[in-house]
Amino acid sequence: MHLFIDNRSGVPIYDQIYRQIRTAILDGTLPENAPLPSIRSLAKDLQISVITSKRAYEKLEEEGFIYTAPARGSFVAPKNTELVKEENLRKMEEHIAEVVRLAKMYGVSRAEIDEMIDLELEETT
Amino acid sequence: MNAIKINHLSKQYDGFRLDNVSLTLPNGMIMGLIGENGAGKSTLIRLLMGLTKPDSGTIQLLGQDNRENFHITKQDIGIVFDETGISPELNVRQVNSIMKDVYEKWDEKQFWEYVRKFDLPEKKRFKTFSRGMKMKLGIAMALSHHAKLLIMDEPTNGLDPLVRDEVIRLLCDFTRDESCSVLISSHIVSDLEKICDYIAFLHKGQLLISEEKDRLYEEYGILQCTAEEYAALPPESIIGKNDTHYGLEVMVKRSAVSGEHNFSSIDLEKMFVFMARGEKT
Amino acid sequence: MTEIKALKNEHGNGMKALWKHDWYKSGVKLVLLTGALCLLVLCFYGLSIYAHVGLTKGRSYSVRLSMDFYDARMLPIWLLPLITTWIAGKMITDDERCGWRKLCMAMPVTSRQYVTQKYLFGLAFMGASMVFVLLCQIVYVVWVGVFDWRYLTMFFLRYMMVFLTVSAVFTVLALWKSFGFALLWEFLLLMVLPAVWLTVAGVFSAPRLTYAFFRIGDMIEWLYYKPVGIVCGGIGSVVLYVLSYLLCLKIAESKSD
Repeated sequence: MHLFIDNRSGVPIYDQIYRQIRTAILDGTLPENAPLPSIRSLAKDLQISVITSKRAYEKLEEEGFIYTAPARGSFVAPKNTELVKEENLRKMEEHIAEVVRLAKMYGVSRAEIDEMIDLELEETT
Repeated sequence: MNAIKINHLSKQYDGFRLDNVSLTLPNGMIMGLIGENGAGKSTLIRLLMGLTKPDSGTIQLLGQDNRENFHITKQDIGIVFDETGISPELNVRQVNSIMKDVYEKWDEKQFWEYVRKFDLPEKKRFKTFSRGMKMKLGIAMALSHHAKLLIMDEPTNGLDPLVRDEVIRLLCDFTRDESCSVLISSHIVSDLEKICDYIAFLHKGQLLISEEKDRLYEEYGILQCTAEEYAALPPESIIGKNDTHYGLEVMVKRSAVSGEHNFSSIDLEKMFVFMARGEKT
Repeated sequence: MTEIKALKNEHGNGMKALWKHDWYKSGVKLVLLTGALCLLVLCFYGLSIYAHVGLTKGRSYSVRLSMDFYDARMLPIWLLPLITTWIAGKMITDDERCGWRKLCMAMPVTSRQYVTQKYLFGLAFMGASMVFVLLCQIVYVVWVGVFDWRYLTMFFLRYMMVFLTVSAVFTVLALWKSFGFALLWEFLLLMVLPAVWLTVAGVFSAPRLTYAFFRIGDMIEWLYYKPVGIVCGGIGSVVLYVLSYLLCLKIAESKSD
């Protein structure tokens, strides 16, 4: 599992960890029931606060991405297809939001956007 | 159990007063004690280790009051002062021989491992050591008797970034065991920013804050605004401001300001400076 | 007994560690330095004996005593207690300066152990200088060939007591100064000493002895010439050292920076 922490990005560290682990789970890098490093060893390896890594794990558990077995540690939860679909849609929404923002900024009309989408779909099929 | 529990500690000196300090360090955590020179960090540590007696208040280390049988509790406490305390004439071998008799749980093997890791010469006199080497020896001594609590007073002063990084790594390794805790005082905030779980700000003998580090980042933010915007802010939300002549930088409590605001990033150093300076520019 | 028990740690062995530290720090150097000093003093002493013997041969016991004591060529030997106590004091201030005492107090070493070890250390120095003085006396005796037991006893005892008292006073001052206690105490101590002497003089009820206080010369005469004086001087020094130690302990334990 790859985890990179950017101290200067302004994004809270627990959030960075949460997102990266979530992505790894959703795209299959971390398979179902794969063990995760303990909260403490993760914190110490990344040289961050234990409270931070605990928070990231708590959020993951809250949203159903991982589960914790007492005295055994944390594991990737069995894949929830709903969640995967939601995640994929979320990613698309992000990109769409950016497209819309640019369109408004440059004065591109809805019709022109549709044209561009059709072109892209044609080219890639 | 808490590694450190300080209750209403006060100590008066000529011209300086450590005033009603209460803080708690839970087991397995790292606390950074930040303060300017003369804020009272060293005084607090001296009080913790029993080198000085407080005027009022109580101190508990590893669950034991530090006035009772403290020399037994000290077996489990590792201490690093910024002057290592070793006589200049001694060498590392002799230090090992002395520490063997001081600490019941002195682990010679572990000590030599650290000595090798730090590349410290075994037979050379301590006075030939550089500042970094002296500090490393102090740390090796503190980490080689299976201590449960490590207290470090300005250990990274005058050390280059490589050595400082090594010290940080060592602290992380030390606290992998969840029964081991660290209190480290420094005025070099960047060292503490990454690894600390708890942060305490000490300024002119007053404890400004003692909090989980993450919560500090959530609770406080920096706003860049104009004078009018500043005037519009609720006064109870303002911690401090800085007039740059091109605008105002204001540190606020996020929860107390309403509406959408664009907070810029804040780090501990800025936080400390704002809190210490208060409303003054 | 409980005092002595309290010196040994329940865990670890603090006293041993403290002795080791002092020995490593300067043990070998001190032995060499003291040895060199002894040789030096012995040379001077030897020379002065050589010059002195001719003067006192054949004189009466009391004349010889007074001449021995005041002979300027015997003076180098007085350096020894001063030098040894200076060394003892310096070692302690060194410890203070490099932070060893601070470190000890933060380690499982009690202030009681620390103070006791330093006082024993000072005692070791005093003992060493007294042994050396004894050796010098033996050399003198052997050289001069005088075996009058009264003379010898007085002779040995006198010098021993001189060094005991001078060493004790200076070691106490050095130790107190080194522990960083207020200078006030040194002056108080100096004031206490005459009171002690006067009391003792009163106890042995001789009005002349009371007046001796006002003339230091006369006092030395009493303290170091009469058997009673010598014994009092000796006991007084021991008492002074022990009292100083106990006071020092008390202050160190309740010390509030």
